[in-house]
Amino acid sequence: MKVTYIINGKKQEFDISPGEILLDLLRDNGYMEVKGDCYEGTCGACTVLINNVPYASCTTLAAGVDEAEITTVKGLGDINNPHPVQQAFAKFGAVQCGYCTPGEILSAYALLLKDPDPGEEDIKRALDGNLCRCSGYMQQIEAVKIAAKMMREAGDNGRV
Amino acid sequence: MRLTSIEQCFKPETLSEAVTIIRDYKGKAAIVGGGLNITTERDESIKALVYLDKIGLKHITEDEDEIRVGSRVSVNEFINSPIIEDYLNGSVCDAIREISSELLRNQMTIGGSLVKGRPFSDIATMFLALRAVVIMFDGEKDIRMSLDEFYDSGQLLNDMIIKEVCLRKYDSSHHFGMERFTRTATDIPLLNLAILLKLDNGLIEDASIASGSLKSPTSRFEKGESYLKGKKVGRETADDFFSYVRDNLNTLNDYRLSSEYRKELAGVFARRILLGFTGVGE
Amino acid sequence: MAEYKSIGINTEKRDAMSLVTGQPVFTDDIALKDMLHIKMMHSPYPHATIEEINTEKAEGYPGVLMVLTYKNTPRVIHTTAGQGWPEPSPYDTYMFNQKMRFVGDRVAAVVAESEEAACEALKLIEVKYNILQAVLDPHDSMRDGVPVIHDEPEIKGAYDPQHNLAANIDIEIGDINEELKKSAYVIEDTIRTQYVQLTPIEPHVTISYLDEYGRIVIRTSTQVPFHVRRIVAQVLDIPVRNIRVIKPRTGGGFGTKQEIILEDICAYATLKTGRPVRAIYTREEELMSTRTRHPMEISLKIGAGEDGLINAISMHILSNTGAYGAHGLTVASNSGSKSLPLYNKAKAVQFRANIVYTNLPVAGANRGYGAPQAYAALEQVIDELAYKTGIGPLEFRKKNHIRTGETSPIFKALGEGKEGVEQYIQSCALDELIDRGAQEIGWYEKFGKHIRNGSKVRGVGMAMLMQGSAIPMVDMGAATIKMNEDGSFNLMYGGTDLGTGLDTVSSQIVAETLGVKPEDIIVYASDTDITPFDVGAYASSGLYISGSAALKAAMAVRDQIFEVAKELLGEVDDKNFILEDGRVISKASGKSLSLSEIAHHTLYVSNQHQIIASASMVSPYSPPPFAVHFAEIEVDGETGVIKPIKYVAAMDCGKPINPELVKGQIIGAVSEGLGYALTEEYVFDENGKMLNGNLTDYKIFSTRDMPEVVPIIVETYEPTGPYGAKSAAEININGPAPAIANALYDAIGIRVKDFPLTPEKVLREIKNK
Ligand SMILES: Cc1cc2nc3c(=O)[nH]c(=O)nc-3n(C[C@H](O)[C@H](O)[C@H](O)COP(=O)(O)OP(=O)(O)OC[C@H]3O[C@@H](n4cnc5c(N)ncnc54)[C@H](O)[C@@H]3O)c2cc1C
Ligand code: FES
Ligand code: FES
Repeated sequence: MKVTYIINGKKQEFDISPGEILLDLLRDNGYMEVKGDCYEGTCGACTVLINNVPYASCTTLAAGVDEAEITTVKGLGDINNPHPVQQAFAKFGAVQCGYCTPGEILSAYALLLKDPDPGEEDIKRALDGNLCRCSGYMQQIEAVKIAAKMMREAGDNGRV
Repeated sequence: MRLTSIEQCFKPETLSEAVTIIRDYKGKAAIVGGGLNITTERDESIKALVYLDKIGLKHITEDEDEIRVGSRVSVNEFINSPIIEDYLNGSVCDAIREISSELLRNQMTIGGSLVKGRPFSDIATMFLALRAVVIMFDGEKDIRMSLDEFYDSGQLLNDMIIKEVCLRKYDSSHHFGMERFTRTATDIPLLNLAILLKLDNGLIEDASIASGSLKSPTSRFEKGESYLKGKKVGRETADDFFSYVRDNLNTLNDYRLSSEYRKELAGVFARRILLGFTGVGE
Repeated sequence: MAEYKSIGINTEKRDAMSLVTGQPVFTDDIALKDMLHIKMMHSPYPHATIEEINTEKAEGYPGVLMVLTYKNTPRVIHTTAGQGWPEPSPYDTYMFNQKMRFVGDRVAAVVAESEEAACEALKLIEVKYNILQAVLDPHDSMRDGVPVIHDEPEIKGAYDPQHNLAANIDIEIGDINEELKKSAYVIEDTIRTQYVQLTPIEPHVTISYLDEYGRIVIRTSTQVPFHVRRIVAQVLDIPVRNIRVIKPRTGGGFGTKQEIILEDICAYATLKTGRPVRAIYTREEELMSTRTRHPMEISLKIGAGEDGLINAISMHILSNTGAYGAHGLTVASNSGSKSLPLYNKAKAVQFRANIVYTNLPVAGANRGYGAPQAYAALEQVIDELAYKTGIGPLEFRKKNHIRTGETSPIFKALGEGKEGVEQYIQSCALDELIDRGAQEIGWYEKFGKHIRNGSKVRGVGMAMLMQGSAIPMVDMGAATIKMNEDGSFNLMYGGTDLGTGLDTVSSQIVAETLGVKPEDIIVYASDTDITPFDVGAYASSGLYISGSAALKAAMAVRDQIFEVAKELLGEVDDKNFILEDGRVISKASGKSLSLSEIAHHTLYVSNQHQIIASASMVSPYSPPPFAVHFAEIEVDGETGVIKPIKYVAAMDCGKPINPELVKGQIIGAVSEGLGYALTEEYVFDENGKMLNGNLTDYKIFSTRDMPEVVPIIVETYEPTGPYGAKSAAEININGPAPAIANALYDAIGIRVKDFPLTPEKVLREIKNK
């Protein structure tokens, strides 16, 4: 069957098997920034935004999100023009091995879209599905606060 | 890896169409709620998936008597709805605000969570205690039944669809509390207990109790409900009820927790919830 | 102290921008044309032999190229432990074997065009097992009449395989019985630690292919690229020169990737098919079939005199290495060598360890490497002794800990499975760590106060820790640095960055030495064709060994630059220069040249040559970093739930080259240690099958589980380390188990001697009290 998504702002059409998992579809088509690990919704490495809401793509059926807007971490910014959340993660020690990072950043970004000035508990709750084994989370939580501030100061979703 | 048994996907435009499809498939088609069970359990007997996104069922509406929750409403949508926010003084929202993780709260739907009534579904426990009513669509008409009846009836789902779940609007004499045990913050609950009480001057007029503690589907703890009726909320009843629950609730014994510990916990939870009601509604 | 420009600075992690923008930097982020996929079949029985295996149907499944079993693969006995050669671990493993030794042991591998075909074909393999009696309790392993797990004649290097004894350690310094007898206070206790794994979020994954010359390239998520090359060559019986191992970015390792798990099979399939092959483990396979932390039973007897000085320590360990002996000997050695020197006043020390085989998952290297187990026990018994002497936990430790200028006989007596190396402590801030940590946690206001809130009681506890920095006289790392005409440098070294930031701190060290910015250093690491040798990332050796090699190479390059500068500036003495802001400056004349001018000159103008140098580092010392941890918890007396409220980790790692990265090492290790203390454990059924082989039931910490963690870095200067640095990677995982256990005792006066401290066990203990 055919599905169409807008992935990182670009319209894409795929011919999929009806039992296709979104994570597999994305990786098979080169979206390597979406990581995989547990395939049971528990680690969050596979997080993507579907219409700006974070989901575990490993438990998401590709057919079920036909016509959705999908955002991966590459949709936020790139090396030359990183998004404030990406900048804050890179700058403030929030990245160690980086395997959980795309998922963490997307969850943080989705939070900041809804709440430009989240408290510590809000951040913890928004990132609770993204397991990180390296960092112990403190620097990530700090980075989200800093990113929030950068975005508030810049206005307009943080794009300067 | 893809679900290899799935041969077909349907996106019906109407509920009648959807019902026709699941009937034709005789138990081999599954309605997709959030798809969390479907993708993690990978039941190979399922050959077709039926998506209801063209139909909606994402509403939360209210009238004088009840709140109606579309079966496809996600847990996060439920918690964040202004209608639910104040329901029973916010105690319902508070009880499930931090279940599981953000990613899964976005994904799991109220309908999908209720269907199997698993003991580790906080939604099932909570809605049982709240005496929720399920509205099923049988292809022609809506059928209303209480969640208890729904679980008692067993196989209904091979030819019906859960359309909505209704929560009664309780007046200020009603109080709700829920406790759950998890190993880590985002864990599945290994035990949960929810209590709804109707109080009259500190006297328990009516009680509704559910605990996800043993079997699937979960059921109400009716013995406990009768035990509480007519008692006065307060330290004494709470302490008595602790022992009563510990001694009378059947609990699961598995590698995660022993049944003795689950019983003890259930007692502690029951006492805590009751103590939480002490002093209110008097 | 010198003014540094790149040392002690929070340089942004060199790979951070690539990681936050999702560049394809991990092993599995490439998809090669015509790539094949491997799926593994695992033994359902803990102890069995394969009587018959029929792979015909599987081989006939569409898309399947081959099924590998013990019948069609090389039978070379080896160890999967990625250690230096000759490995101190027993040779007891084959790529595939007829004998199954745990639930999860490898039966066969299917090589197919797709993962799906491989999975389907797996179901078609027919195996008839001859089921043997299993040994599931390490206490049984050495008993007479118990089945012998390693009964094959080829086994080599195991201590007494006929008694399931993989390794054994027995050392005694002084007269232990005599000293215990003389002690006014003696505490004796036994603590048990559980099976856990550090579950890096990226699983084991390997992609192998033939290059255009027919050599095998292995792209793999590993901590030990050079050991992978050597062991794969051994197992496949091909020359080392035919193998190239590349480690791209690694998604965490923590020890589980100090092991050859998928590389040999992948490479073999590539050799046989000529095609690229990919193998990746699922989370369940990760937990069940890779490597775990040795569960140990640790019995301690510690005696102290009237004066509160420790006279004698006896530590006896029963270590369960599971089905294979990887790291069995060395992990147990480390349990002693990384803990006992802390209390160097003891006149007698006895350390005994039996490392036994069982039919359970294989233990191996895990961050801390034996020390977390030892500290889980030692620091509880020290606390008990501190109470008994009436001196109190802080003062007792202050009285007894090792100090600068002192040594411990353990350093010499207990090395990596053999004799160690004598050393004197040259940097140690333990007293300050105790004081600052105590102040931050509010020790004096909280200790012994049992602050209550309904059913909940607060408690505080602490633990004192050390580790090492690399394995002395064993670990070697080398680096090459070359200069480019824009004044940048390539650093090529074998150092293996697992996400820790090693590449970043190494670039800081080189930049400081060459008077440039870290961004001027282009780091390329861990490629056995291109970079010089390095043992890899383990034993807290990254900065101390690989970083020092980079430093030495940088110093050699600096000398070459001075030599050229002397000539170009017409100076007499090449000692009279400094490097600063990308220029070489003569202190004598004040004249200067840019590094770019120097490089242009040497590459194009006269006396042309490449400025380049290599250096190797092997250390006669392994300076211990020190740490003191404090935990504040709240125990619910009705449910037994322990909630960590605040955690203070004060550490002396010498000079912190990059404080932000050091902080990350501290907090990350603490979060893993808290899981070890409270929630993580393998649960087995009566047949030794793991019941919780997934992240739904193997519970690691999320954001919402973490207490407030306050890292405190107390700076010292370690003269043997690069710019005064010692290691920071492992030590902090040792603290949470004993600190939480001691806090539990402070709160409600109970000890649960069986980790993890689950609510159910705590409540049971409360009721027994
Ligand atoms: C790792 C993990 C942790 C979890 N933790 C918790 C927790 O802490 N607390 C908690 O409460 N839950 C938890 N759950 C969720 C819970 O157990 C269910 O998986 C979830 O609620 C299912 O919701 P869904 O909408 O995704 O269901 P789906 O998978 O879409 O559906 C579940 C079942 O219901 C059927 N169905 C769905 N919608 C309808 C409908 N409208 N009419 C008829 N049949 C329908 C489906 O066919 C399927 O059989 C957890 C799940 C996972 C995987
Ligand atoms: S791979 Fe999706 S949550 Fe782990
Ligand atoms: S940085 Fe390694 S898992 Fe998060």
